[in-house]
Amino acid sequence: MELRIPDDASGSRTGGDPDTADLVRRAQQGDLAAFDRLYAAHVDRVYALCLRMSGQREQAERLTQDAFVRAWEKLRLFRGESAFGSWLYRLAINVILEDRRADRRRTAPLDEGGDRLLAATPARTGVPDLRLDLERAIAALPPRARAVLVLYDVEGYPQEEVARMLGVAIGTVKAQLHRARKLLREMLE
Amino acid sequence: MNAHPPETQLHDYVDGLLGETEQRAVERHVRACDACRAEVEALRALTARLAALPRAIAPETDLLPGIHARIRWGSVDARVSSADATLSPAAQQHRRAGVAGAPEVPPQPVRGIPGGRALSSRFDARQLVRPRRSLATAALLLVAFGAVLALLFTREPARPPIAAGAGHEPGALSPAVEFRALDARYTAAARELLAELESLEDELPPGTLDIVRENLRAIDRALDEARLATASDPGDPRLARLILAAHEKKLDLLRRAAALSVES
Repeated sequence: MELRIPDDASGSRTGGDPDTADLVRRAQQGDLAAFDRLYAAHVDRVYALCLRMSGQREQAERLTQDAFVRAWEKLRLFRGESAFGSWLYRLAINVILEDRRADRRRTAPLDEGGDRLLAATPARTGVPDLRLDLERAIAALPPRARAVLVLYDVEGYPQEEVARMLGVAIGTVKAQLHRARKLLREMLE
Repeated sequence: MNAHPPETQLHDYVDGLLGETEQRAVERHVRACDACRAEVEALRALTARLAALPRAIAPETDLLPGIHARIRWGSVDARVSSADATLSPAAQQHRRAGVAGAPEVPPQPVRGIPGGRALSSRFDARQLVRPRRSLATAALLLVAFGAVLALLFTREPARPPIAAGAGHEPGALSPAVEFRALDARYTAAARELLAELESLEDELPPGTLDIVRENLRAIDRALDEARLATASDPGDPRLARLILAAHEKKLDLLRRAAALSVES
């Protein structure tokens, strides 16, 4: 199931399609098997977000688990006002940002992140090296610049929303974005 | 040719965030200026590559067992605070005996590890500078729980009954339930110790934490698999011993790392 954020392309609310809506309803009633199917449909998206935002595989795995446990706990609060995928990814972003605020010490040093992500990126047939270079460069960005770049340039959230998520002014988002792009270009040259 | 637009304006131009008039003005300049046109093309190429990145990456590890375990056993805080209440009187006695002389560690939100939903939300700066006394206490706690687990399983029958009430006094908890509570508490304590180690990263030999984390991940994977197996056969003492052995490995690893911190 391919879901888009921030505006879920599947159109309908509650979960994007009748199957998802049904799974959400069942999971809200405590059906773990239904929740597993939601997990299967969304884990790759959540993990990609966690991996790019954190730059470290082990941290991304932990954050992904945190996000799904949080989703299970908060599922009853999901009212279907947005697509389930949008709700889940936003929740995952909150988990990531809370975690980062809680302990900035865990953030990878500038020169380590790239190698960690590269090592964490599975070798897949047909994946161009250029993509891995870009992933490595993203992981090597300073954390704040990386967060803005991933949320805006990769995930497609509007700058105003990125500013709200990060609790900063929009000017700060622009400054970090420009910095991130500049650093990326330097790293990729 | 008019002056070069500021860098911010070029980014906004590429992102389509300028007003109509401003957009047209920058466009006119870019057409006439090689340097700005090259800059815009480079920015467009970069943003196109970023937007084309795959939105989904499959984790290398199956994360679902760990999620199930945490969902079943609740959050770390809940597990830690409720663990004592779910122990049988005998197990509580073992536990008290095990930690005799050691100060009690109040339940703490733990950070930096799976299971830590509440960790971040409740975590505060004081925990970053918690003294080493807490580290030593956490180590003692782990030793104590290692002893409790061992005692629990040495007094268990070969295959304890699972069904509520089967073979137990009314109101008594089954060994499986006791074990789950101990397992959860052991896990939480191990996480606390790891969090302590993380807060002392600067005092550890370089690379120590990476090695610890790598080994913990491998042990945790084994733990998750064993726990998953116990879900379908919770009374199998062989699985419980497997979990105990994994905890012991974890304990040993953390103890060694803690010793390095104290020595350094």
